[in-house]
Amino acid sequence: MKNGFRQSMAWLHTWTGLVVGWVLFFVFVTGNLGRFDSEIDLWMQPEAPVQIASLEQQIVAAQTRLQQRGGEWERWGIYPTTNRDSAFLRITWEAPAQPNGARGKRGEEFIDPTTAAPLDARATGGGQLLYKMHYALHYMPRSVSDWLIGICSMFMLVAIISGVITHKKIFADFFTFRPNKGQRSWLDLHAVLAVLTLPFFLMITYSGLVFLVYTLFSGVVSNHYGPGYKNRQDFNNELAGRQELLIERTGSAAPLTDLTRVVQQAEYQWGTNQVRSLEILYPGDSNARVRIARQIESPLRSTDELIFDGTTGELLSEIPAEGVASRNFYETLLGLHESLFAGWWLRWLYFLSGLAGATIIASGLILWVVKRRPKQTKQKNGPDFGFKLVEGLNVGTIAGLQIAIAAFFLANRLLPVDFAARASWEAHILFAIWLLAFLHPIIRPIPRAWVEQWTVAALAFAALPIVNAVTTGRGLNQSIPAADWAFAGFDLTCLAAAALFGTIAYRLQQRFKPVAAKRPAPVTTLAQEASA
Amino acid sequence: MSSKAKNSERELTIYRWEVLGRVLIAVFGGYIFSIGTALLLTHILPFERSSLVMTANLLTFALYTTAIIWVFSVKRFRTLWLGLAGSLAVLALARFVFSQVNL
Repeated sequence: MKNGFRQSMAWLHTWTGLVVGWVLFFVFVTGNLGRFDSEIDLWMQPEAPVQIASLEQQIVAAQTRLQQRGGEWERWGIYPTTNRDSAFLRITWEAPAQPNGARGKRGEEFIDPTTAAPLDARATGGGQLLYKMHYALHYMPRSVSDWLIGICSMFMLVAIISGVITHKKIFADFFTFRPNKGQRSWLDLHAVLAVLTLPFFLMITYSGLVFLVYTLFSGVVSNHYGPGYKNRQDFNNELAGRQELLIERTGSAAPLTDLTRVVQQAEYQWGTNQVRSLEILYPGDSNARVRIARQIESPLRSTDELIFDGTTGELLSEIPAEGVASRNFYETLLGLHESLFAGWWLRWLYFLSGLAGATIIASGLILWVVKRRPKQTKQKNGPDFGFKLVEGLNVGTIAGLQIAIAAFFLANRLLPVDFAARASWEAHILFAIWLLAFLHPIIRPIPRAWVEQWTVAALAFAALPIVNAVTTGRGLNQSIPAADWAFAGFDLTCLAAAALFGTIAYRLQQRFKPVAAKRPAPVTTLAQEASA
Repeated sequence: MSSKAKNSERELTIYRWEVLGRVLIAVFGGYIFSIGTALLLTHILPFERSSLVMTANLLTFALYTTAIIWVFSVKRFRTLWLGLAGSLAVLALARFVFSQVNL
């Protein structure tokens, strides 16, 4: 533009970052909690018995339940508890594609393998709901959320690239942090974390976009395969070499084979505990197919697969995990994003990287305000509306979201267990509290709003382990001796969050107080200090 | 109001329109450029159909980002228009040529 390349990029970085920063912060925080979705699932259904049923028993229960439900389905899915990603035996179903080509309606259910009935536990969205929010948002159809998230992610990619170009001294900044220096410190924090986690940040953004390529660049696939979900599936099957799945329904009914026998064959081939999931295409049709996938053990998300005839149970083909280069690249990108392969240490590293990502976004948003505050507060008529809006949105998003998430978990414990609509109300409470957090900075001075919201967030997270102990009898005094790590880990993480938020509130309060006592009026310094 | 202030105000207005223009070109021009190039690649690269499509899928966002960065890095607005029109013309021509060859 007018000035040099680097200045243009700095401009681009500032504005692309600002426009989508709040949405991206939400995406990072909820997506990051999704690293522990299954553990959160366990915590959110405390009365659910630990499932120790054999694989065979689980398959029988799943098949029984799916067949009881009746109806005509495009596909069923069965996810036994053979790995960390399934806290409970889960079944899924999907209706045939809609006339307009859109994907058919889907549903899912946790199953008790001993009774083949839905899991007898409180209704909840669980960790899955939080995790899904990071790409599907809430209160809107996927066709809308995919575009929203896609556009925001595209902005983020541009912000990252332009941010890197803006950045002159990438090596020096690796070691540069000057705390307690106002704007300088925010810039350092923003840069240090971004340099440190740049590979993660780039990977998570690019791979996140690749998830959405079928929406954002649907033309690429439809140009060769035709529009709609069904054609996209054909493309995927062709790419993976699943010729046996490129078939249509015959329309004549035929009973589904005994799935336990099919699973036995897979275990015979791969060894025990290697079956990750089953997908049944056209259940009840004579052209039914069963696809069994093996455990994911590397960043390559695609796995070995066995495809069986769904009526005779005959093995039709074996698909290796690795295929053509483009598919391997795609599946590795997605595998790195989802981290399904990650063990505990790596999973926590992912979590910390995600926290760093959220902090980069938050510090960028705060930096925008801090940089403009001196000029804005000197204006005759006070700061512009846009400036005040950004200030308020920052408080409501960065601190307010933490309160809202704590409220979501508290609602899980405090709403009556037999309240029918409790699952959807957990989410309503999350968003109602979040809305309040956005309104709060309107009636309070911004520095006070920060302190108050961080304090509330700290108190809410500190309350969670206590409320859990009282309502379930599985508090830290029980869970730690019993090595109940889902519960202990959840409660300890809440305490860590409470400590972090409490420290932030305390430090902001400290900075705010002495200045206020010494000099009564200087709004500029006051406000600047408060968010430094 | 002095003529100097008037001038700078006028410059600011022009600058703002230019920013808007660049945003529109980056978003829509960049999109057409990236999907056009990706589709063109599916007609050039010597892979199987499914692999072609996946390769194009994976490249779209890189192409789009490059285009957006370029739109905001070009100094003169005129260069921008030339670049946009030129790349779209090349894409259309290539598309036409390959549709003839493939038939």
